Amino acid sequence: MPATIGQLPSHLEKARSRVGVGFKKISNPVGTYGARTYQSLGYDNSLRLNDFKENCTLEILFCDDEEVLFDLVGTDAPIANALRRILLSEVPTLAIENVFVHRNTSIMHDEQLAHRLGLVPLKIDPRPFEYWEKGLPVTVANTVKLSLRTKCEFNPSAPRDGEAPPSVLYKNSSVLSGSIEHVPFGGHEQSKFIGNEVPRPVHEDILLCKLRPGQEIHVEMDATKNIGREHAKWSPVATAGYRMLPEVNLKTRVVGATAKRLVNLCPAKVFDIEDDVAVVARPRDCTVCRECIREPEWEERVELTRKRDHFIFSVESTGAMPAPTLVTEALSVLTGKCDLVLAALDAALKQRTTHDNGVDEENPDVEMDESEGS
Amino acid sequence: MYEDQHLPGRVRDEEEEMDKKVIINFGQLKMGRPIYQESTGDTHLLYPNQARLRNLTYSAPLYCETKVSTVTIIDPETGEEDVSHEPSKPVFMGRVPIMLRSRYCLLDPLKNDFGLNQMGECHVDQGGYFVINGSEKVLLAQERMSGNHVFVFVKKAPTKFSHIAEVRSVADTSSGPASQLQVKLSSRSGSKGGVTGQTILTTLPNITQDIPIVIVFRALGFQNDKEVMKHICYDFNDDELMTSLMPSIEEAQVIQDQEVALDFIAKRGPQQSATAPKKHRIKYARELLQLEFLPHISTQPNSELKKGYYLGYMVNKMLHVALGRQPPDDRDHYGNKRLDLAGPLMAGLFRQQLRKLMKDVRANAKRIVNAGQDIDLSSIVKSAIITNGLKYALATGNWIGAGGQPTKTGVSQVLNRLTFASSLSHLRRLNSPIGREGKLAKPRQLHNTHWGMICPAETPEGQSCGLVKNLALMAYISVGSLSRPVTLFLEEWSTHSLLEINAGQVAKATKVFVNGAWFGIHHRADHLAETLRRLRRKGDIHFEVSIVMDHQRKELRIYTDAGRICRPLFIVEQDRVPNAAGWRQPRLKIRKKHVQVLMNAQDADDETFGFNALINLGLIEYVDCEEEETIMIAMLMSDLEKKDHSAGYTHCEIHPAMILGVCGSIIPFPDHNQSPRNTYQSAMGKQAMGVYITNYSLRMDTQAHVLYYPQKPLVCTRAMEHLKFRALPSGINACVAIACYSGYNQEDSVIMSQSGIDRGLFRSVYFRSYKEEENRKYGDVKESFEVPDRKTCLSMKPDDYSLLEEDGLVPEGVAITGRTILVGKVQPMEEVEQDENGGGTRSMTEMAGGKVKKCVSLGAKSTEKGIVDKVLLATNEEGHRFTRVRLRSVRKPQIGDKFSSRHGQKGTVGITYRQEDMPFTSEGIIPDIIVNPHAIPSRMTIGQLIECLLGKVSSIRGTEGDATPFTKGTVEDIAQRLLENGYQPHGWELMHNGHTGRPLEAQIFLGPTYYQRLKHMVDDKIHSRARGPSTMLTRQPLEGRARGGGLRFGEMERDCLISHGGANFIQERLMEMSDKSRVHVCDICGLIAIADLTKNVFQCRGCNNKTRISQVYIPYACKLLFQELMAMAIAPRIMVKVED
Repeated sequence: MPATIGQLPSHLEKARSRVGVGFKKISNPVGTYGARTYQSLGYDNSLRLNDFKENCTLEILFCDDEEVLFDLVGTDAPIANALRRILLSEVPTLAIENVFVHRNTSIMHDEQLAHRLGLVPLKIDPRPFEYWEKGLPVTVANTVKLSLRTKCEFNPSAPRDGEAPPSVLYKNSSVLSGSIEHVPFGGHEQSKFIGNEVPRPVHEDILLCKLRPGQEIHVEMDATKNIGREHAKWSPVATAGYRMLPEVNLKTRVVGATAKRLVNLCPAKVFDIEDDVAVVARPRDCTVCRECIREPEWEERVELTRKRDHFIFSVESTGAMPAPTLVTEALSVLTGKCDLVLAALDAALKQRTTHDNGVDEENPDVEMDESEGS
Repeated sequence: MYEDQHLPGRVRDEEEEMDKKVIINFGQLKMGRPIYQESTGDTHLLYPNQARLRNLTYSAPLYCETKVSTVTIIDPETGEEDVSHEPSKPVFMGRVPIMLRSRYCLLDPLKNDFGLNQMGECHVDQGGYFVINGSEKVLLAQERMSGNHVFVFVKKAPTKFSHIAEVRSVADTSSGPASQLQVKLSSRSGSKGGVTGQTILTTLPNITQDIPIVIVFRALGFQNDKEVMKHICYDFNDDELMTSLMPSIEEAQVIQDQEVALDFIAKRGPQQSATAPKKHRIKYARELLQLEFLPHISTQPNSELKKGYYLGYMVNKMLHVALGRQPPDDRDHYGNKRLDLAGPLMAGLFRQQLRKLMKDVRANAKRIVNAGQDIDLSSIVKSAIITNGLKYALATGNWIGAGGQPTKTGVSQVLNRLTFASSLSHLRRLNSPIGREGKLAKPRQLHNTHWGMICPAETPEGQSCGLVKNLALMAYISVGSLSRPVTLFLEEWSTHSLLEINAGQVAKATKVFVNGAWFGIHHRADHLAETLRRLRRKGDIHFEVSIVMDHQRKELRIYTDAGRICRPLFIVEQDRVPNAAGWRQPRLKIRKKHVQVLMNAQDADDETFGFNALINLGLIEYVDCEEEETIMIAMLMSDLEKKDHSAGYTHCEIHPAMILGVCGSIIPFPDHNQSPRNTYQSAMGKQAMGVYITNYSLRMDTQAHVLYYPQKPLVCTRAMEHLKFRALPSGINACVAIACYSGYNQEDSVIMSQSGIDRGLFRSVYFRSYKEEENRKYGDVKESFEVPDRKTCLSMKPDDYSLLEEDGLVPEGVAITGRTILVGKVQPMEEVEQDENGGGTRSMTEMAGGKVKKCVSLGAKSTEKGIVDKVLLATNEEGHRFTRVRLRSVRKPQIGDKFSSRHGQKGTVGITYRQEDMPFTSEGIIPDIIVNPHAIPSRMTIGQLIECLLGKVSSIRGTEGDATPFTKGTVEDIAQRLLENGYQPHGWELMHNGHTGRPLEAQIFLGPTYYQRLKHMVDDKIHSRARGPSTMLTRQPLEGRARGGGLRFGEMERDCLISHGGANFIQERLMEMSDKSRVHVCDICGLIAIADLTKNVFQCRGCNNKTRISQVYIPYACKLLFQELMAMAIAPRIMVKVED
C-alpha cells in the first residue's frame, strides 16, 4: 500500500469531507470510509489511530456551569453522536424516585405530585453514589432522603376587602421546589457522599402545586442514582446536540446590486461587502436557512457545505452538574464502553487461542478505530 | 232511568240526573324553587350538583290556584241556581324539571364565578340541560317543516296530479296536529265526466274523496263563477291563467248552490255524516269548513271570505308554478323549517300530562261527588302524573307526540361530557326526524340557506349524515312573540283588510301575510316594509320579527313565530351626502365609539353596553333565512368601499368565520383544508381529552378523562375566546416533524418521544365511577351494604373482598385491580320457599346449608385497575342508601394509543423512541411526534402545515398565532416572519439521525402543532383469551371483552382455512376449543340414547336396545339443534357405522 498521502481532486475531496447543502437536498450525508477507495489516485483513506490522536481536537468556545459550547474536530459522526447519546441518556444523576405520601389534601393526586417531584433537578453530585434499584436496601451510599411539608393558611394580615391575589390572601398558596428539604440520615458517613453541600433542588422556584387554606402536603422522598435511559428525569442535560461547521463559498465574484441583495438575503448576516464585492464574513453564523440559494440562479453563485469532521457541540446542563463536567463524565462513560469492548474482545481471542482450531465461520476482525478523545 | 249494573262501563251522565254541579276551576300557575324533601321529612333547597351526585331530579314544585264552586239547581224549570264558591287555594300539581341556569334555576341569581363555585358548579358551564335521576339530559332541537306555508311541488310524470299545493295549517293557539289541505292540479292525461283538460281538486281534512276546487268555493259562499275566478286570478286580463281554470269551472257546472255544494262535500265525508239526513249533512259540512278547514285563518263563524281568499291564493300560486312563471317550492330551504327547542317540546309534553291529569281529576271528582262527599283537591289532583310523565320523557327521550303525532325517540340525550367542546356542541345540536333509511340525499345536503345558520363541517358520518346538524356560532332561534303588535301596526299603516276590498284590487297591490295567514293588501308595500324595519330597529316591534318583502311575488310576509333560525348582521346604510368621488358610500351603522363602549363593557348581556345594546340601538339586527334572501349582504367591510360593487348593500357580515359551529371553530385554517377533513375533525374534537369541566373532582361521571398538562393552542382562532377553549383546552402543542424515520410511522401511525412521555407529555387520568344502592327486595326486607362472610353468604364471587371496611365500602386511596370488590352488598334470602308440589315448605336457608344471605356485591371491571379516588354515600329518591365509588388511573401514552391533529389526521403510536434516538436539529431540538409525510398529499390538509408554520413563528416570538378562517394573511407572510427570526422560511430544518448521528438527506418540516389525545387507548381494548366462560345455552365461548369472551373464529376465517385444507385446525378451533360434547346414540334408530355413565348403563327405550349404543363427539350446539328439532317432531338421526 503506498503510504503517500496525496491530494484528491477537489470534487472528490469535497464529497469525502463535506456535506453538500442544496436548497432542496442534502448531498453526501455519509462520507467515504473505505480505506482503499482512492487507492488508484494514490490517496490513502484509511483511518489510523495515530492520525486520529493527532488530529482530533476539542476547543472550548464558551463555558459556564449551565452551558458549554465546543468544537469537536477531526472525528466522524459516530463518535460525536456517541458522545451526544451518552450525554443524553447514560451520564447518571440523582432524581427523586420514591415518594412516601404522609398527607396530601391538595387537589393534585398523589401520583401526579410524585411525577412532578421526580422531574425536579437536584443539585447533588452523583459521582460518589451507587445505583439503586427496586429491591435493594436503602443505604447512605445510594439514597438521599428529602422531605416536603407545607400547609396553606389564611393570611391574617391580608386586606379584608377587594380582590387580592391568592399569594397575598393566603400563606403558602404555591408550593415551590425551594421547600424541598434534605433529611440527613446515616450520620457522618453521609458526608462522604454528599460532600459539604446540602442537597437541594437546582431551582428554588419551580411550581409544584397550588394550595388553598386547609390543604396540606407532607411527603418524604428518596432520591436515587440512575441514568436517562431508564427515565428522562435522570438525564443530566436539557439539550445536547451538535451541528456541523457550515462553510459558505462564493463561486463567483458577486458585485454591485447583486452583492447588496445577497447581504440582504441572509437573515444571519453572513455576508459583508468589501469594496463593492460580497465576501463571506461570518460563515459560522450561518444557520443553513438556505435563503441565499432559494432562487434558482443563486445556487450558481453561492455554495453551502458543512464540514464533515467538524462538530459544533452545545451542551446545556439541567444543573445537577456543571456542563463541562458532564462532557468529561460522558467521555469517561465512552472510554468505559471501549474498555468493555476491548476486554470482551480479549476474552474472545483468548478463548479462540485455547480452542486453537477455531471453526471457520464469521471472523470478527474488528478494526479498532475507537479511542479516547484528547 | 238507568240501572247501573245493567250497563257496566257506562257512567251516568250526572248533568242530566243530578241537581248539583261541581265546577273545578284551575287558575294561575305558580312555580316554586327547586326544593327536595328527604325521606326523613325535612326539606331543603336542591342544588344541581347534589342532584347529580345523589341521582335526584333537579325539579321544582308547580302549584295551581284552584277554585271549587258548587252549583245547586234549585228549580230545574226556571234554571234558578245557587252557586257557592270555596276560596281558591294553591294545589300541588307536580314537579317540573328545571333547566340549569334558566330563570327558575337556583344558579341563575349566582352571577359571579365564586358563587357558582361555592355551589359545586363550574363557572364556565353553560347550563341549558336538565338533571334527571342524576344524569344530565339535553333536549336536541327538533327540525320540522313550518306550518301555515303554502308549498307548491311538481310531481313526477306518471302520477295522477302534475302539481300539488299544500299547507299544514295550525292555529296559533292550538297544539293539536296540523290540518293538511291540498290543492292538486290533475295531469293532462286525466279527463273524466265530460270535462277535458286539467281540473283542480282539493283534499279536505276528514273527507275521503277529492273535491273539485270550485265546489269548495261554492260551499264557502262564492256562488257565481266570476266571484270564484276573481279570487283565484285577481286579474281578468291574464288569459293564460283564466284558461287554465276553465276545466275546473266546467266540472262544477252541476253544482251552483252553496247548500248543494256543502251536501256534496258532506256526502264524501265519513260514514255517519254521509248517511245522515240532509240537514245534518249540511251542518256537518259547515262545521268542517269552519273548524277543520284552514284553522290558521280562523275557527270563528263567518270567516268564509277570508278562507276563500286563502284558497284562491293557493290555487293561484299552484297555477303560477304550473304555467312556469314561478319555480316550485324548495322543501329543503331552511326558511321553510322550524326548530322546536326545549321550550316548545316541554310545553307540548306538559300539555299532554296536564290533559291526562284533568281527565283523572274529572273521573275522581265524579266518583266523589256521586258518593256525596266533599271534594278534597289535594287528594284528587295526583301530582305523580305530571311529575312522572315529565321525568319519563326526559329520562328515556321518548317524546309522546301531541294528538296523533308519532312518538319521537332520542329527543333527550345524556349530555356528552368528554371534553368541554363536545358538551357545548351537544347543546347546539339539531335533529331532523326523517327516517335514517331513506335513500333520498337531498335533505342531507348542505343547502345555500344554511349559510351562517348551520355549521357546514360539523355533522356525523354514516347513517345520520346531514340529518343531525349543529348550529353555527351566532345562530339564534326565535322564541316567538305575539303577532298582535305587528297587526296593529299594519292596520295603522293603512293595510286593507280582505273584508274591505274587492278581489280585483289584489292584482295591483301587495299581499300582506302575517305568520302565513293572509292579513290584507297594501298599495305601498315598499314603504310599509321600510317602516316596519325601522320600527324593528327602534325596538317598537320585537327584534326577532322577520319582514320579508318579496317583490317577485308581490308579497310582504311577516313572521313572529317560534323556531326560526336567525343570525345577527351589521346594518349598513348609505351616506346621505355623496363623497368626494361622487357616490354615496354605504357604511356600517356601528361606529368606533360604539366599539369603544363595548370594549369597556363588563358584561356581554348588559342592556346598556353589551350585545343586546347593539340590537336596541339598531346597529345590528337578527335576520332569518327568508328575510336573508331579500337583503344584500357585504361579506367584508372592505367590500363597502368598492364603488362598483357596493351599490345596494343593506347589511354586512359580522365575520364570515361565524358560519362555523362549535367544533368547526376549533380548527385552525379550516379554509385551507379539504372539506371532509374538517368534518372528520369536528367529530374527533369531541373525543379529545382535556379538562372537560373545572369541577370534575366534585363530579361522579361514569367515565371521564382529564389531561395532566393541557395547553392552550399556540395557533388559535378568534372564536375560541368565546368557546372557552383557552380556559379548558384539550390538547398539547407538540413539536411535530413530518418525516419518514425508521418506518415505524407508516399507515397513519406516529412515532412519539418516550422522553417526552416520561416528562408528562399527553399523560392523563382516567376516572371511572361505579354505582350501587340498597334496593328494597320485598316488604321490609332490604339489601344492605356490609362485608359478606363466606360462612353466612351464598354465591360469593371468587374476587378479593379483603379491601372492604366495616361499612361494606372500599376506603379511599387503596389500589384496586380487576376482580376486587368495591361495594359489599348482601341480600337476605327468602325465608320460605314453596315446594314444587305445593305441599310442604322448606326453608331456603336449609337448602343452602345454613347460609342466610346472598352476596350481590359490586366488583371492579376485570380489565380495569386504579386507585379509589372518592367514595360517596348518600340516600336516593326512595330514601335508600346509595353509594358511588370513583376509581382513578394514570394513562401514559403507549404504543397503540390514538392521537390526532386538528385537521382530521388521526394516528396511533407506532413506536416510542427515547430522546437520543430521535432526530435532532442543530439546536438540539427533537420532535415529540413524527408523522409520516404520506398522510398529507392525498388528504390535502394544508391547514395543518400552515398551523405548524405559524406555530413555529408563535413559539419563537412568544405570541399567539391567529388562524381564524377567511382572514387576511398568507403563508408568505408567516414565512417572512420566520425568516426574520433566523429560521428557514418554510419551516425546514436540517436534522441529524439520532441513531447514526449523520445528517438526514431530506430537510424536515418541523414545528409545533396542536395535537389531541383521543379517548381510544389500547389498555381499554387489549384482549385475548386462552380459556374462560361459556354461554349456558350452547356452551360456546362468550362474546366480548368485558365478559372475558373469546375472539370469534367466524365463517370467513373458516372459509380461509378450508381453502388451505386445514381440516384439523378447523376441527380444533370449532370443536375442541369450543363446545365439544359427547352423546350416545342408538345404532338402530340413530337417536340420542339414555346414558348413565355412573352405572355404565346405556339404553334406547324406543328400540328397546341396551347393547348397540355408540358414543360420538359432536358440538354441543349440534346436540342442541337435534333436540330442538325433536321438539318439533323432526327426528334427526345419527347413523353410526363401524368400519372394519
